[in-house]
Amino acid sequence: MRKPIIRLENVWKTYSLGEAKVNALQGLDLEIFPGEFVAVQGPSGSGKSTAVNMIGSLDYPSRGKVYLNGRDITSFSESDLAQLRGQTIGFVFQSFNLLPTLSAIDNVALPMMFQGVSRQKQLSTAREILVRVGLGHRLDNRPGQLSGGEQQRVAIARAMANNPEMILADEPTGNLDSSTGKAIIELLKEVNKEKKTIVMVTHDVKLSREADRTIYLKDGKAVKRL
Amino acid sequence: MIPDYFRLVLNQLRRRTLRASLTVLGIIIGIAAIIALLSISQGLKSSIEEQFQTFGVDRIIVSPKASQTSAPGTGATTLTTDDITTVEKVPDVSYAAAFLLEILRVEYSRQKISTYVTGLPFDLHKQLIKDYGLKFSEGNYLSSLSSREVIVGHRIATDTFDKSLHINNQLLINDVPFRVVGILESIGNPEDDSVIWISMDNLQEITGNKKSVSMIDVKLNKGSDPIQAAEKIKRRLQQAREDDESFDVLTADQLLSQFNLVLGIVQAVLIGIAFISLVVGAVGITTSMYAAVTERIAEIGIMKAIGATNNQVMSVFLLEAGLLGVFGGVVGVLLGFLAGKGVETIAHQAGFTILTVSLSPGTAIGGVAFAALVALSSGLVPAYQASRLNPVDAMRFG
Ligand SMILES: Nc1ncnc2c1ncn2[C@@H]1O[C@H](COP(=O)(O)OP(=O)(O)OP(=O)(O)O)[C@@H](O)[C@H]1O
Ligand SMILES: [Mg+2]
Repeated sequence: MRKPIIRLENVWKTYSLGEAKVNALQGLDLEIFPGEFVAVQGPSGSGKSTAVNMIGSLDYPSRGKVYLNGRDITSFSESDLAQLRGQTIGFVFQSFNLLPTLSAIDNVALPMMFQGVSRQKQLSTAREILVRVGLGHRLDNRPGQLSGGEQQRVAIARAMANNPEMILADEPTGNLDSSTGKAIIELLKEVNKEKKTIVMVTHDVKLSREADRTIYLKDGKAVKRL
Repeated sequence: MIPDYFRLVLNQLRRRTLRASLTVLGIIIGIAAIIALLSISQGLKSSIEEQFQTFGVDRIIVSPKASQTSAPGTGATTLTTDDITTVEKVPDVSYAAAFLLEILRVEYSRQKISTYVTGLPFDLHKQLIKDYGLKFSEGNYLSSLSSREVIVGHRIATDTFDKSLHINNQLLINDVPFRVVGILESIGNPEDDSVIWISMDNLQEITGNKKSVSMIDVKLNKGSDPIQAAEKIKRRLQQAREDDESFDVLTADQLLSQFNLVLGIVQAVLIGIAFISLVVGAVGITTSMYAAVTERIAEIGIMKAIGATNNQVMSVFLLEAGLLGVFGGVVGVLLGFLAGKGVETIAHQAGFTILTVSLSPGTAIGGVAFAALVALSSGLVPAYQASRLNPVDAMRFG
């Protein structure tokens, strides 16, 4: 059998707000395999973002295990995790999350900078990816000078910068109109064709049909159907 | 790698010019204050030393004890003409010149002022003027012991009276007419440039004060040790004055170190003040580094999400603090030096032309390094806290 890139095993995530405790995840099990395009669906508050954060090793689970390429990341130090994350996972967020003071090309170069890639290589790779996502003419524009769709393309380009195995997108079309959103999904599908695993949270049932399979979440657990 | 961080931070600073400028303001003020004070006091010190250099190290000054007298000429002098004879007999002494200073009325072209008039021994006055390294811009020495002649300093000739003074003009000293025979070139400090010199005999005659002396300037023989000579002079004077000790015997070196002591105290106080303003600057940097961190919590989250380690995040913020410090330091050093030069200009207008404000490269570099250090240490805590943020929580911000 193929080995999963990511495996979550009985993962719990508990947030405490003063006295009250919120269980965002309650024993979540899931596996993501190389090359898959997986959609994640569920009602608001069901733990989709929390789950994506666990898959992307952005946060430690309160309980349970997370394996990245077979290695238990809960035992990794924060800095080791950051390095590993930078090499293997790219993120795309609903609100783009680009650095406002940097141009498109510098935003895409940033993840490479944190991996110690030479400036020359950073720029040539960033340019190449931006051309591929259709922004060859917007290299030096800052996020404020770009449309929402263009910003999300920059974000996808940034997610691909270190040639990661997997791209995680949490409602990447949430802030975009439907046709721009559709174009973003098309772009992600193209990226998926280059053997990159994609995990995408979306509310839109139509968009989730573009994925190979869908994981449904409810009350912090995976369910068969909603 | 490091140039990348530079580019990133410079970019941040360029896009946030206002906040960055407010942050460095405190550092700029603190460093400018320190550098201004240092450059002025360095200038002051070297100009004092320069004056002592021309004065010579082989000299000893005998004066009434400072605590027992007020200004010269007020009648409180405790030295007498007898003391000169005592000092002259000490073997190391080449000559001992007595000075008498009195405040008198001086009048020129119907304009009256009250000022110090100095009586100096006629037979030694040529020697003194030579030994002090003075030159005449007009005229020459006094011609005889009793002729009513006067030598004046540069300021008396040019700046004191409405009409400028030239040789052969007449000066009334306590209503007695004196002919100007010599005008000295400028020395650079207003006190020394404002001398009015007549022969001791003339001054004694005008004031009727034939006994007292304000100060004795002793020149030593070549090769004699000033400290030992000063000791001998002191002992002889004590014997002659029957154990009276109301006088000071100081070598040129001791005078210089007395000057430097006072200067050092002034310097320490001023630098203390400047240091306080630097502390204020550091507090300013700390608070605005905190502001910078809070402002960018979401960005820190993003950086960490795309693979920045804690150390990398910390480097970014420390570099930012350091650059602000270096920038503030450079601007502060320049402004401080300019302020010092401004003081120099004012001093020159007031007659202290000898004061040249100077800034050694070491002090300048030290100033910048100090600013960077203050900025770095005040940015350390905010930078550390920024680096510890959880990326998920951080990204929720803003
Ligand atoms: N940092 C946090 N502190 C406290 N509670 C949190 C935190 N993050 C998430 N939660 C809670 O955990 C639960 C799951 O949140 P999560 O963001 O994963 O939901 P979601 O499925 O992504 O929702 P949506 O579709 O609205 O984005 C929610 O009840 C939320 O309020
Ligand atoms: Mg969510």
